[in-house]
This record gives sequence, C-alpha cells and structure tokens, in this order.
Amino acid sequence: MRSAAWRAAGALEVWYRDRFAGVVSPWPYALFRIGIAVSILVRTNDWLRPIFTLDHYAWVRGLEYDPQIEQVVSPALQSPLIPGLSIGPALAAFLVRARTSLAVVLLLGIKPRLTASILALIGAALVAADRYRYFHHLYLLWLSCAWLAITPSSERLSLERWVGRWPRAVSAPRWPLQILRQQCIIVYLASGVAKLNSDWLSGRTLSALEGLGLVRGALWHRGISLIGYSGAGTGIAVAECALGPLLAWRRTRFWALGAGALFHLAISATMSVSIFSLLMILYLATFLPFQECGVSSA
Amino acid sequence: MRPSSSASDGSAAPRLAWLLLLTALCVVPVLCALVSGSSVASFSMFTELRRCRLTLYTNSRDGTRQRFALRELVPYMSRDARRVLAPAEAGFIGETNVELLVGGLGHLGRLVCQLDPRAKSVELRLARAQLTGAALPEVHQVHLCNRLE
Repeated sequence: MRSAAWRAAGALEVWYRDRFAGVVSPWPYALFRIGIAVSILVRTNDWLRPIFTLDHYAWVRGLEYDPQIEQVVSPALQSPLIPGLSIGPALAAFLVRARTSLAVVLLLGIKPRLTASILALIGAALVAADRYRYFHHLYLLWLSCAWLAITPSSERLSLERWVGRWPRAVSAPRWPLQILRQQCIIVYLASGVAKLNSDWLSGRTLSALEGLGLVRGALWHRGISLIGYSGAGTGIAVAECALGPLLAWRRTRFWALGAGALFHLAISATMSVSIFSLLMILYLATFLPFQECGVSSA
Repeated sequence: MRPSSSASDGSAAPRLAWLLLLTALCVVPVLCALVSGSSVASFSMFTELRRCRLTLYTNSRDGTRQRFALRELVPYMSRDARRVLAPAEAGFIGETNVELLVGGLGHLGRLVCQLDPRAKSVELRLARAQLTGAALPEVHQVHLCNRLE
C-alpha cells in the first residue's frame, strides 16, 4: 500500500517536472515583457487621452496616485489594504515617478528581472496603501510584472543586449512560460467558477451592470436581443470555465486561442474592464506555437 | 529521476519544490479568496454585485446624535476613495468596492473623529442587499474617538 503511494508520488513528480522541462524560443518572454511594460505605461497615467478614450481616464489625471495632482487635504483618509502600510505624500510622489521610469526601463529590456521585481513591489505597494485603489485588473497587472522577475526576457528586443553586442541565446528555459500559462488558466477558472451563482446565471447581474453603464454598445444590444441576459450570463460562465482546460490541452489549444481572443475582443467592446482584456490577450499569446522543445509536448 | 536543475543547456526543470512554490503562488491567493468569500485577489469580476448604502452618525459628549454627511469627507480622500465613497451615501451597486468599504469603516470613523472635535464616537451603518432586493445583514460599527481630556 505504502509502496503504491510512493510510486504514485514519484510518477506525479515525473509528470510535473516533464511539464516544465525543456526549452523554448526566447520570443514569448520578450513579447510578454514589452506587453506588460506598455500596459503599465498606458494604465498608470492619462497621456493618451488626446488620442484614445480609455476607461480609467474617468478618474485618472496625470500620473495615477500622484499626491501633487490628487491634492488631498490633511488629515487625509488613511485606509490601507495591508494593515500598517503607510506611504506619505513625499514617498508617494517619488514612487509614482519611479514606477513610470522603471516601466520605460522594462520596456527597453534593461536588467528586466531586477527592474520587474522593483516595479512589481512599487506598483503593489502603491495600490495596497489605499484599499480603494484595488481593481482585479491592477492585481493581475502587478502580479504579471512580478512573474517577469523569473522570466528570461532580455534575449530579444533588449537594449542592453543590443548596445553590449552580447550574443543572443537561441533558446530559453521553458518552465517560466509554463508558469505564465498556468497563471492564465487559473484566472479563467477562478473567474468562471465565481460566475456559477444564480444572480449571474439568471442574467440579473448583467442587467444591473447594463443599468450602471458598465456594459454597453451595439454588439451588446445585438447579443442580448439574440440570446437574452440569462443566455449571455451562462455563455460567459461556460466560456471562462472551458477556456482553461481547452488551452491546457494541446489538441484544443489552437481553437481555444481563437475563441479566447474573440471573447476578449467582445468583452473589450462591451464592458468597462480597463486593460484586463489586453492583459489576458498577452497571456493567451504565451500559448502560441513558439518553437518549443520539451520532454513532453504539453 | 528527471534531469537535474544543473543541466547546462537550461532545458531541465528547476527543483520540484521551487516549481511547487511558484504554482502555489498562482493558486493559493485565488483559493483563499474563494474559500473566505473575499473578492480581493479572486478574479471574480462583477459576479457578486450588492446594493449598499452608508450612513454616518456622530455621538457627542452631551448625548446628541447627528447625521454626518459623507460629502464633508471628500476633500480628505484620495481620488479612488472619492470614486468609491462619494456615491455611498446615496447608495451604489458594487462588488469588491462593497467589501473594501466594509473593511475600511474603522478608518472612516477615525477620520470623522479627527474632523469633528465634539464627537465622542462615530456610528457607521452599511445597509446591504442582494440584486433581487433581499436584505443582507447590516454592518454596524461604532468607532470611539479616543481623545486626551
């Protein structure tokens, strides 16, 4: 009995290691790094306001959380998400500028692991210093930035490699890519499972979101006239629950990638989700068939 | 056993413990959020909307009880706090924001104490309901203003 358990544990270990062993083209890492850096630069200020209308422009002016722009009167409301975390105005002013500078450094691919580590800490600390700053897409953004700290993303599209004329590696370890894919699958599963409740499946939640102006547009109205609120709610929940497993399985990955991209384009066109769709498309891109050579092909 | 992490071509997976730790970092926050019913870190995205309305009262030393207008706090709030809290007195529909508001009632009480020198305590009442209109338990907190006499 005991030896059977040991054998099962050993087999599980081999299976798990096999998912992560191997090499892959360095391109997915470089593209993910650039995507995250661009997402940070787009989301944490309103510099593109003259060109685009983005959801967060409704409340962001200049650099997000800049005390000089927010002009909060003393005594300011202190309500950190992490008890005891307090960032004064001087430190906050420094950190919001450091955040933007580091995002540019990350974009250029200069010491990307170190840069991403510091950037993730700064970004997360600024959000956690005020509970009302929390959004799911911001949590995902800074979490993704933290994942870049374990990702070898400087082998392509990197200024330091170009200036230093360092030789470019042909391949990179595959395990960080699998971690990114794992994160993507978990977001879909968590989001899908959370929707398995009567309010969502009956369409009441979507109807309320429409009333709040958070869901809108011609595509939305056309979809609702075809399948109704309940159909839309059920369809979204099923899509999110199914995307994770379909992406994980190599045989269905191609179709899941297409469906996922369409799903996020539709969400982006109908819902106020800020950069969430952009982030998820970046994660979907990690499933593209880059030159991948593993012990197994999963 | 499988290749060790010391393989020179970088193709080996790192130690199993390291991979399990990274996997846990992906999974544990979401699981904790799901189990505890919290929407922070849950990626639940608009799924548990609630109606809520926040009312503040100050209790003075002379025994009078007065309504405290939330709009008086607005200048002391960050832009994001304004976005969430400014509509709370009239009532709003939210998911994570409602949970964040519940967790931050004590901080609001402390701010009211700072702004109203006559206040002995601050009463915070958050009425909540499901989208169907079914009432949920009201959150009622009393924050004592600790003042040096």
